[in-house]
Amino acid sequence: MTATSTTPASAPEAVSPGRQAWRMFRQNHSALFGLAIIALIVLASVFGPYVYTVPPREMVWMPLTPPGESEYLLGTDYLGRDLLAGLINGGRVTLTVGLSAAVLTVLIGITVGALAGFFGGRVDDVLMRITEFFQVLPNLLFAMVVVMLFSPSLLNIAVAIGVVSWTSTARLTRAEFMRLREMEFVKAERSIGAGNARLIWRVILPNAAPPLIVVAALSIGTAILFEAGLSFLGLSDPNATSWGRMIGDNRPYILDSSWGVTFPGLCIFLTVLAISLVGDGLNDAFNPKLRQR
Amino acid sequence: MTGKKLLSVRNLEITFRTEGEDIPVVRDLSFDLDHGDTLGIVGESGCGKSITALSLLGLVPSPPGRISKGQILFEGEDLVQAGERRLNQVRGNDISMVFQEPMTSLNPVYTIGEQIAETARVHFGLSPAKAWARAVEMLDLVGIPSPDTRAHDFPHQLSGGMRQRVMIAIALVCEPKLLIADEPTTALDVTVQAQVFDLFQELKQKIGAAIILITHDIGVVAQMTNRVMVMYAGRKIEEGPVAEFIRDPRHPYTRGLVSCIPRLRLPPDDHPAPLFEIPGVVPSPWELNRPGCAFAPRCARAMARCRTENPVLAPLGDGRAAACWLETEAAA
Repeated sequence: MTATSTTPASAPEAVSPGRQAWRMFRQNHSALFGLAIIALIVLASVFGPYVYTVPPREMVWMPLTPPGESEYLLGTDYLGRDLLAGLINGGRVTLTVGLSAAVLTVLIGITVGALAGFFGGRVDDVLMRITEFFQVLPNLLFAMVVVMLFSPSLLNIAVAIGVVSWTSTARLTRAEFMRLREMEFVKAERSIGAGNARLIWRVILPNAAPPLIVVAALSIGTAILFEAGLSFLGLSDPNATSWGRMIGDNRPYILDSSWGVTFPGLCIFLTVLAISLVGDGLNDAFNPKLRQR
Repeated sequence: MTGKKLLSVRNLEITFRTEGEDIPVVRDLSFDLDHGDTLGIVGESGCGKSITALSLLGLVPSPPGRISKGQILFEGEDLVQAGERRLNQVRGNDISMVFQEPMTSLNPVYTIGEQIAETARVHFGLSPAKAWARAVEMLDLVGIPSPDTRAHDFPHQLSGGMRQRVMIAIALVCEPKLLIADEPTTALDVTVQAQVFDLFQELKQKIGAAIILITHDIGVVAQMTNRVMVMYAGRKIEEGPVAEFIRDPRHPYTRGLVSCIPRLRLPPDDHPAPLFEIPGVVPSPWELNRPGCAFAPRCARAMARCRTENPVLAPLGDGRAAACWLETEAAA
């Protein structure tokens, strides 16, 4: 930091909270590592299918070929499908479902939590009873029922995951809103004519953002695991291959081909680990107590 | 006559619901304010002055509080009856407020320029560029040095005095007709207090808004306002022009308040008398349901009548009034 002088022009430069958080994040090596892994996986999923054009759902070689014994690097599964092609294409599906489920989770959670926390009283009572209802439902079972009732399309799976996992986001948002709504600056904003909508979305939400960003990031990981769980149980889009589905499909042959379940499992593990590392990094970056200025 | 007043509060009663009971914290309060006038509201902590200020903006925390009686006529329109939508138009545009705590009254996630500009944009529908220019202009007006650089600062980068200046800029950006300042300098250092009051004096002339200044500092009132109103336990007990009020307070309570001001000129015998203090404490609102003057238990001159009958506000001429049986009986 530069030496402070009396002229205001040379005062420390204005640093937005976002930039400050990024400064903290940059110094966190494990978080950067996580970010790198995520970048790699996202790139492979988005551009991979154009580069590596082997069809993922067709028999291309002898079934159960171990890795490294053919031109198909990671070997083939019980139907002779290329495992690498499956992983690359499955990444797309897994990430899409995970991301959209997380977006849904966060949208529902923040909306419910914000309204409950901001208005309090009767609104809070009603919304919290609904939240508790969803909380006590056995998540996996409820999601399975939803997916089975409607068709197991990617959209339905994402919706099912979102619908069962928004409750903790809602509770966190509510707690933040209850804390922030009593702050002086909220009163001050009200006194110059800010309506409820403005207070909720423009005044309080940005102040509640740091913990919510962390939760949003982590919920992507949770959603990916959830999707894997559903697919493993056979509840997956029949027209799309996801990592979880690959594990489920190859499970009966685990004694003949360990690679069939290992590689998709490794992909899920790495992705969720990377997301957790980034989430932790965000958590530290937004923690004012760890911020050195 | 009332139609011409900027603000006319009539028989205002504000109650708070506590333990199933409605406890009045402001009772039968009436006062008027003309365009461009300055009124000081003085009283001890808990006398109802801040809640009165909040009620003018429709910001009495509800529940548990509510305005149970009376009218708040702003340019003839009753704000007690107004809906939330209408109140949001009044807030900021017509009436705005500066709060006690500059350290926490600014939103920490936006720059001060953004906060002022946002207010200007919402109320006047200005383009972002124009709103920003207006924000810088306002910062300049409230005496922030190099405002165009400072506008990019976040609240945590400013000192308390600077933050209060920013709060004043936000309150004034929409050119309200009435500015309420609720103990605007309580949280500031004495030297900074003086600077902020100088700023108020200066702005009073520049913008011509009426000001209600809430404080417990009679010195500040004497310096800043034309008229003063003293509240005690939720009631107005004395009001009048500042000069006469300081020279010759009428209500025993205000006499006490005025004698509490330390004076630098020592009496001729050179034995400084100990600083006067009013014995006792302000009664809690629960104790006020019994008849009689709320100040009687602390009053050295209380009579039998004071404990049984609540004194009515009696005019004393020259726009002065006091609620004390001593005055009523002296006049009779």
